Amino acid sequence: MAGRVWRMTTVELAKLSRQWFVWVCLAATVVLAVLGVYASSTEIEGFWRRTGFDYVAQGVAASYLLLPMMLVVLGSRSVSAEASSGTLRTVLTRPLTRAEFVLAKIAALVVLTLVFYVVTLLAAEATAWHRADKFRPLYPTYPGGGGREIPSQTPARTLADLTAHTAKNLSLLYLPLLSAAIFGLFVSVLFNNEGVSVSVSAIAYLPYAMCAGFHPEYFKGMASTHVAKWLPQYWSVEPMYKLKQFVEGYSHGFLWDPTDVARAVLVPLMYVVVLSAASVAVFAKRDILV
Amino acid sequence: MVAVLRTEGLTKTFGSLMAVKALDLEVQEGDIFGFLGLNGAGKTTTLRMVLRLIRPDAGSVQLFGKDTDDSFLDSFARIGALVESPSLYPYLTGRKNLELLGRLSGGVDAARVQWVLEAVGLAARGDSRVRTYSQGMRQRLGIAQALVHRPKLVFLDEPTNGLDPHGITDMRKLIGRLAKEEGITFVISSHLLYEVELICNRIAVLREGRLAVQGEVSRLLAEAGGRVRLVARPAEVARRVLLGKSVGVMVEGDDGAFEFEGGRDGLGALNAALVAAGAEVSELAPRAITLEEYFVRLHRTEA
Repeated sequence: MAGRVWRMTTVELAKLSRQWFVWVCLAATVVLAVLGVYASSTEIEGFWRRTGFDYVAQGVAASYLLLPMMLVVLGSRSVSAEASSGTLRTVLTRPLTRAEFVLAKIAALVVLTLVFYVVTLLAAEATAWHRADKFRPLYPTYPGGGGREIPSQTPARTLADLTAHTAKNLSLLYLPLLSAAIFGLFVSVLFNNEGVSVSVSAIAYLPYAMCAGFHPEYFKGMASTHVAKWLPQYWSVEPMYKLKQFVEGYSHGFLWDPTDVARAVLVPLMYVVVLSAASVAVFAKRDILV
Repeated sequence: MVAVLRTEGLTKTFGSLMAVKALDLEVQEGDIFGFLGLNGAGKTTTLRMVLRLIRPDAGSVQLFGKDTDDSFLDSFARIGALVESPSLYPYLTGRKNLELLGRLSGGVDAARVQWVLEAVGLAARGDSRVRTYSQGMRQRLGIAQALVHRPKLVFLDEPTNGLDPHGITDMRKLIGRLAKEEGITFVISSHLLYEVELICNRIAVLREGRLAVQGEVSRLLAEAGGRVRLVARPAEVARRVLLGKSVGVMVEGDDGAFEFEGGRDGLGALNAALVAAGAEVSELAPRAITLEEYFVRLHRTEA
């Protein structure tokens, strides 16, 4: 089974790497990340000078304007596009179970999300490295918020700090993004039409994109109505929102508390697992009539 | 002979429509098997059930002697299929399509890909993206992807769709060659009955989801009897004599020739009657029925 999933995953990645749409999406997130760094002001709230990490956060935040939505769209095309074009029946007449087919699609999205996020992060970091003269180590437990610059304690930038920052950022923000892609995949196994699948998943995930993007206050407003808490996106976005605050250096609540960390990892992971299992179960019972 | 494909009681309904009902098919190793029927007869639905694209409501499918519900992965590694239109990745080249689809069947080497491209007449365009292909070229590539991994059983649903006359002839020759050289068994669904008759040794005909007939082409045509072609002048005299002989369903062609069902028996007496009536007989010959005529007669009879 592992061999067949691996083969299908390599085929899927080979296909993705040859689609101009994927490259356009990747280029757009990189451009947003770079612009986000350059467009941000040098000061925070008119007082603190930005460090390199602050710039990185601005770049990543800018890319969030599109990144979750792009991953939702790419996920929502993964099966429905094959159904629309008829290649689904070509592939499914190969020695491959339905479950293996979906698992390979999931594996490809795992890699795709990682590539998108790493490239975006690296673009933001490279730009920030160019713009900022300080990459102060993060002190998340410092009273008043992690990542804030303390003028008397501002060592010169080091690659080790940047690497540590990247690792933290990836470990905590990757799974929410992956959950977006897997949500798209789940929608895509429900529909034979690519356009319908993309539209439905995009609309259903619009709150997610807005909350995780440039406008966290919008999400807070929704949460205050007590409606948003009934949306599954809420529980993926809430830790993401807090993490974003932390990464940006505005955090007053997320201080590496073990509960928050566990929730930040486990909640989106739970959605990834549940949506993946649901996708496999639904697709296994579907008649391929297209 | 070993049955490479056997279906027993295969049944599928879509709502109130009985698409396929209790279908028992048997394809022997080495067959080039014609799978025939009018539009909507259930051919593609049957192929989809055999290929596990849709689940039958009842019945079973055996490939290479094994039930596909128990074990289909081994069987599917040895089959190739083109179901309906050729569906390939338009943003990839023809060669890349074959490489990737071949990889899903366990992997194929570059030499095999090149050989298949040459076999279907696409060697010159193998490195072009599929989106630039004509319909006929896509059809050729669709057939190529069904063959690239050296299968032992190949399902081709309307393989000559979109092909020009030259391409149809090439495809017929290719199928015959592969059946002989690589020992491939073919199941071909087609409406081109002339082509089916030329290449297939066995056929099954579906009508409204049920099996109307199944067997060797030569035996079925022989059992169906032949036709007699008559050219005589004046035509009015010939027509009067034939009506008097009650030859059954008679067709009068634009060239003045008559055709009616019958064999060699009684042709001497008919010739004598025509001459006695004053007709000049220039042609009076029995001939075997064609598959197309058999098909039409079968549906007319059942209707």
